[in-house]
Amino acid sequence: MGYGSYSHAAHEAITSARAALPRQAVFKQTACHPLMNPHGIRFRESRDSAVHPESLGVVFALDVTGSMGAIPDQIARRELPAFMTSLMDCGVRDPQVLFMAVGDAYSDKAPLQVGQFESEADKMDQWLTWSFLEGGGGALGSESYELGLYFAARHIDMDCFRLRGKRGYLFMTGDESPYPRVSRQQVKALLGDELDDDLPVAVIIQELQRSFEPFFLIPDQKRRARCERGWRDLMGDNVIAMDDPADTCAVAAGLVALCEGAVADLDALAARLKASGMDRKRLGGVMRALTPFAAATGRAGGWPALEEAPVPDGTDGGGHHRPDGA
Amino acid sequence: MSRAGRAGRPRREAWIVVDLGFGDAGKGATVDFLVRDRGAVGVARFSGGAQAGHRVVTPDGRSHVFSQLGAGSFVPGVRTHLSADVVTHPLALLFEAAALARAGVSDGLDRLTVHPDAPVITPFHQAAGRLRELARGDGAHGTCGVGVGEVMRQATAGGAVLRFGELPRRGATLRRLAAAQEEVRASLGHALGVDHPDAAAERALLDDPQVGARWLEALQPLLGRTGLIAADGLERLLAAGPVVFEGAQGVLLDEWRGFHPHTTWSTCTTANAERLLAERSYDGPVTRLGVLRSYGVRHGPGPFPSEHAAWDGLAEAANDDVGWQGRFRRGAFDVPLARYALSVCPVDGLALTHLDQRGPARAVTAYRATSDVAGFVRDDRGDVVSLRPGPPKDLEWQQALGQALDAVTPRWAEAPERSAGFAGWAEAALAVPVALTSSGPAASDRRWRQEPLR
Repeated sequence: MGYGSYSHAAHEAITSARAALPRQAVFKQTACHPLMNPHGIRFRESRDSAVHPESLGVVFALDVTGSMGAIPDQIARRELPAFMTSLMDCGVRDPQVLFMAVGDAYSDKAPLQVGQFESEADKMDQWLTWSFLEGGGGALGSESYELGLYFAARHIDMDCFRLRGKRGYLFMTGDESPYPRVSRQQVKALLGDELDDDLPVAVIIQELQRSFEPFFLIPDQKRRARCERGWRDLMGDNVIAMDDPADTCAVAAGLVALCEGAVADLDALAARLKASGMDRKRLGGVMRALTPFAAATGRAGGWPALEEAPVPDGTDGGGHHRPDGA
Repeated sequence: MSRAGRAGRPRREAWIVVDLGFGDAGKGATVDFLVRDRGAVGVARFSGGAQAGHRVVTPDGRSHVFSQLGAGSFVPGVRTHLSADVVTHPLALLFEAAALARAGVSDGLDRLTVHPDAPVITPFHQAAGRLRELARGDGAHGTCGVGVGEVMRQATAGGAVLRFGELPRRGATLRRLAAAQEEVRASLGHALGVDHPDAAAERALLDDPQVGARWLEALQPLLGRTGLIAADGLERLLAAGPVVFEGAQGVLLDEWRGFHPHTTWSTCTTANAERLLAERSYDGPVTRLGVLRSYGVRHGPGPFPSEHAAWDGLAEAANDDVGWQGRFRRGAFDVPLARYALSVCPVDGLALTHLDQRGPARAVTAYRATSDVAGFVRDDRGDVVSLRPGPPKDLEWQQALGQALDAVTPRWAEAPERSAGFAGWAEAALAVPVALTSSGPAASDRRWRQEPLR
């Protein structure tokens, strides 16, 4: 017995705790916006400019399927617009953020939607508005995360990496597992790429890690059980389980700050967030989400091993130092 | 197969599909198969409500978890009727129809009729059900968080339940909703103040005076449909051709025959369907099919003697441990429980499902029990081989049975490895013919072993 998805979704929709503006008013699209259609895109580019001489590419890939409920909406509407500011607060001078929406290639009309790298929050906002929240998703406990990872690995070109050998950051949110392989047929249909064969997801993640420090963010503890193990096998310590999806952007910015060495450790980050006016409860949630990663990389604060965690100087590929040297 | 008989008159057939376990046996796919195989014109729901989750996979690989729409809806033109026994969730219907449209079927709601007397779950009932379950803490009963139980509680307490046929009258419905909001708040008592992170949103909903109007507004795409509400929906189906009655949940969760308090608020046997047919003076053939998995499953808390970790690795498409219902538990095929289910809900044939993945070749054929309750049926060695139902509506009897089941030690027997052998073995153990077997999720994975209708 027992299935509540439709009535849960219905209940969520009617709960007064949701913001007053209906989601359709924010996301007006009823199909993939032509500018976000990834088909035929050779590269999305993150470039240095006179105004932004030290660009750092950050990709935000949001799971927009039904299993994520109102979360993408919430993150997109309330959190992402402030993400740029949070990154600058964390000591990143010239962040350039690209927004990507990931769905399920077996059931959605627009399983992958890709914006452009933007340096300004209001332009970023436009991509969010253009994205089409389908709310579909697969029934089998998987979503097409691997397609987003594939796109990031093969279709993004960033000056930070190309000119300075510094990796960008990729944050993917979600609550299910990826399909085990990047499907040759789907890549052909969605992107127009010709592959000889399907690609195992582990291979594409390895490839992605050359130019990106990727993280997978699980929105809350309830959803943790159903996908954590699979993602840990693929991404190790870079799987972050949060208490509350509302913390997504604060956690992502905190990860960048830790990896960039903008703060020495978690204690220093906590102090900075507190000074920026974050309330205690929320701060606690962000710290809990970051602690396992910080501990694994020797940045938990109060740890004697701090000196073993080198501050990246731009020569080691950027991002945090991986213990296995990969 | 043609829907018309040889003389051009519609063929008359009624099939009743029920689950003989704790639910999740594969009713949806069985209903889909029957609709295709018998050329049925419609599916009638006669029990349960919006908490149903009946998964169907089409031959071309699309899938949908049917909740209120009939599991025959993938077949073009096949209608759904929700009888007055179904506890409806109208807003969830809209969400389900949208999900079904994504699976390629866009006219699900056009093919639906709802009986005007069907009870309606309001957002307040759903919130109350959740708050009550949160307040139970570790003593959780295993709810789906949908609100069915709250509506039934209100009905049992003599409260005036909102009925589907009332919804189009806006002014009256708004007043009823306001009253329901008050009534639900008052009935909650200490549960209203439960200290849990998930409780705040539910409380806010019970406080907000605008929720009723917002809910009714959101229902307009549904309520604006002509012909949706129809007291004679079932009569029309029965007159048009074969009808499949789709049961919900499982006999072992039945409100009177399950193991109190780990039960549902609904009658899970064939009783409602047979009553509906009798009320309509239907005199054509009726075939009752009991669906059983070839291993045991139970979603949520409650007695489950054959539960065993050796079965935990089996894949599950539509169920998981997350959410309101608790853990999805697995174990062996349990002969005494199946015999008990058949004694409270006799059927003409079994549909044995999941034969492709049965786990270890073991089954529980009896229990060793040191304690004694009146409901234990023992063999000459003193092992418990079946259970005896108590007098009608004797919940103390059912509770004692459940508690005794928690204390038994299963006796394990070798069950045939091959699926064909297993079907024969189960048939012999339960003394009911296995009519249908399935070895996969789709209709094409189902085979008649012996057709009960000759």
